[in-house]
Amino acid sequence: MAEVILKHVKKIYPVASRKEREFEETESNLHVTNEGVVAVEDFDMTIADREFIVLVGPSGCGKSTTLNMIAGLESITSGELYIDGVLMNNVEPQHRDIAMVFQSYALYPHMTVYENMSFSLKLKKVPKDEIDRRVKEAAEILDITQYLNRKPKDLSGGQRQRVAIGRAIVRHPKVFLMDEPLSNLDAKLRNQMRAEIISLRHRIDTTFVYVTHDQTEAMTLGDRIVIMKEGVVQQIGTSQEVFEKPVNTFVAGFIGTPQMNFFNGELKREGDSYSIKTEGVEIALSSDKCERLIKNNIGSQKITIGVRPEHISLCDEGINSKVEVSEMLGSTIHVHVSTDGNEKVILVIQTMDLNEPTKMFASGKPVTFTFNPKLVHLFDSETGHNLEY
Amino acid sequence: MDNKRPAVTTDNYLEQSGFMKLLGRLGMRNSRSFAITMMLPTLLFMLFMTVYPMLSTVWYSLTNFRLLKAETDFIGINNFIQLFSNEYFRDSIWVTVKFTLFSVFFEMLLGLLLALYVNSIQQKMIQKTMRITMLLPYLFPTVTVCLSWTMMLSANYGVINQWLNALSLPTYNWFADVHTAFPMLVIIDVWQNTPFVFLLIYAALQAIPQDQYKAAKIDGAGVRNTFWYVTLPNLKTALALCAMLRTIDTFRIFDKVNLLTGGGPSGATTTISQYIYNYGIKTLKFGLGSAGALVMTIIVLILASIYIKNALRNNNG
Ligand SMILES: Nc1ncnc2c1ncn2[C@@H]1O[C@H](COP(=O)(O)OP(=O)(O)OP(=O)(O)O)[C@@H](O)[C@H]1O
Ligand SMILES: [Mg+2]
Repeated sequence: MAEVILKHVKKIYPVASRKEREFEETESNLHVTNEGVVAVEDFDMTIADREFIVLVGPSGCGKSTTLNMIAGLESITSGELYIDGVLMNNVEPQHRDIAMVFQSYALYPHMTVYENMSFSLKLKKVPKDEIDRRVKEAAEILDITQYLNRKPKDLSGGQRQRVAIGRAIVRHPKVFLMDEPLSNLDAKLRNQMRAEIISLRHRIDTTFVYVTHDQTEAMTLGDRIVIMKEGVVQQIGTSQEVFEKPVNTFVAGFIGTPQMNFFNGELKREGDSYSIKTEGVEIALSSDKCERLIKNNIGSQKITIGVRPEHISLCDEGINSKVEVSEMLGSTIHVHVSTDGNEKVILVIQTMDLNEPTKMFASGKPVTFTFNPKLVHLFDSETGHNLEY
Repeated sequence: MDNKRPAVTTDNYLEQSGFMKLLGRLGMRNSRSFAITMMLPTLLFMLFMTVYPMLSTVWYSLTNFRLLKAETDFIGINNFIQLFSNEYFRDSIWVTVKFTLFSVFFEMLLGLLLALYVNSIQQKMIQKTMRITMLLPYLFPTVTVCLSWTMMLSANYGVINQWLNALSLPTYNWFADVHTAFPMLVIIDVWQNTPFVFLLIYAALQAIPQDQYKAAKIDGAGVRNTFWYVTLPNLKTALALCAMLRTIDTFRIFDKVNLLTGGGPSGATTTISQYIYNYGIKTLKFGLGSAGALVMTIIVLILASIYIKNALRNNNG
């Protein structure tokens, strides 16, 4: 039940030796300065009370580092962190009123489930009956009551994860931090636990910061999503915003499965109307798009055109291509084609009205497609920035 | 971890290489007969190298076998009766137990403290250097260790007595004095074997998942509670294993005693093995010596089984 404010938060890991620095410089895309590796750069955000925030991005982009800074497990190099209006930079983790769930569960192996869950309360010298009440309540919520006397090694992965969540719940924290809590579970269990986290969130009603590298998890769980890359926040927004208005090609490619298709093309401006040209096809843009482009004062230029696979439709006249492979998924079929201009494109096609879709999209078959000009994304071909937003 | 290469297990490797087909032709497709066949050379070697000497020791202990005597008679448990009615032998058991308790206790304590300290050093370079220097005493051969300590502790020209002299403190004839010989032996043994404990516990410390420490930090455990509830339980197995190995090893101590004091002064440092050496080997009474060795083996076995039962089995770490 707290607001979390990060003001220009930055993290630099000091790099010990010269050798290490050179390694970092060549092996990762991270920014390396004289002081060390910049793991998080200028993280600036206000997380509202009871909001569910998801940090998402590829491996090594600084998600865990950000979370650890909120938790107090890593020091903040510069910038300020407020929880509930109190500056937290130099406050010990146990006094920040937060709870954290780790990917590895991090349960104490020699303690029973009950002892694991009650450990923090015991250290805080909470009365025994109060501890008992809280542990039982949390166990009830998570459906682990029958395992309270077991040791973690006698539990399955899913059960361990519940215990780890239970250990966090009993503290009634202001902020609930989770670092890839579901990554160690198999796909089915992960979906189930995801649903449970959603319902948990409604029951315990607190602020959540959740780290994942899985964009489906991010889209389904988050009120707002923070997309990071190489230590830099790319975009903060709701699932719909980041899906519909990605600020750059990275976000556009990261969010959505299958991935967005990108074409090299040209933007042409004639007076107040715009058209795009790619693969020998010219498509006029809708008026709302033109308005936004005019507002941003965009002229004719080279662009990267982004089109989501589900926004591509088959037609008689358009971009010509040949099928490379197709993946039948039941209600849809994913068709990977290669255009005459040698671009690789994925199409998602509903199979409902087709008969024998696998034959229709067998390898080598010609496919002609076009895309809905209302749903294309236009990016600067140099910087990758979205030209509309 | 991440790359999804198909795992090459022994099973499918053997399967692929056609080895199993060959075995099938030889009538060894059955996995039990296959296992026995594969283990047979090792088993025979073990029988020859351990079981045979063991059995002959047992046999000798029941005879009055002496190297320079022609006939050997079976005398039942007379050797054991003779041993246990001998005051010196009973003393030697007590000396050995005392020595083992002191040495193992201090080795474990120092080893644990050193491991915790070195593990807590942040600078990796310093940690590495410390780790290597710390190991040196353990790497020296015991003979070298004994010689250098003998020189350092020599009553007349030893550097230790010179220092004590310079500081106007009393000096001792370390290995000849009833009061100092035993403690000195303990100190030297601890000095040489602490690195072993250090190394084992240091490795175990490194293997404790960092996330447990993070969790403990968030749970609000201070330094003491973290040690008590995270570090120590995670070290339990390593500590027990280490204590067991050190106990067994220390209980059999012979080289240091024999080189430094020869069991003296007046039996103050005569351990069981030194006793066996003095009264069984030197006098060529191998029957008696074997009986002594057997007694020692049984005590070690009892000690080891206590450790295994209490600490190593059904542990949760
Ligand atoms: N203690 C450290 N010292 C130096 N560099 C570090 C340290 N911890 C992390 N880094 C670097 O900081 C960067 C960000 O790490 P972080 O753990 O936050 O990534 P992440 O987004 O959580 O990745 P993943 O999805 O793999 O968990 C990484 O490139 C990593 O190499
Ligand atoms: Mg991480």
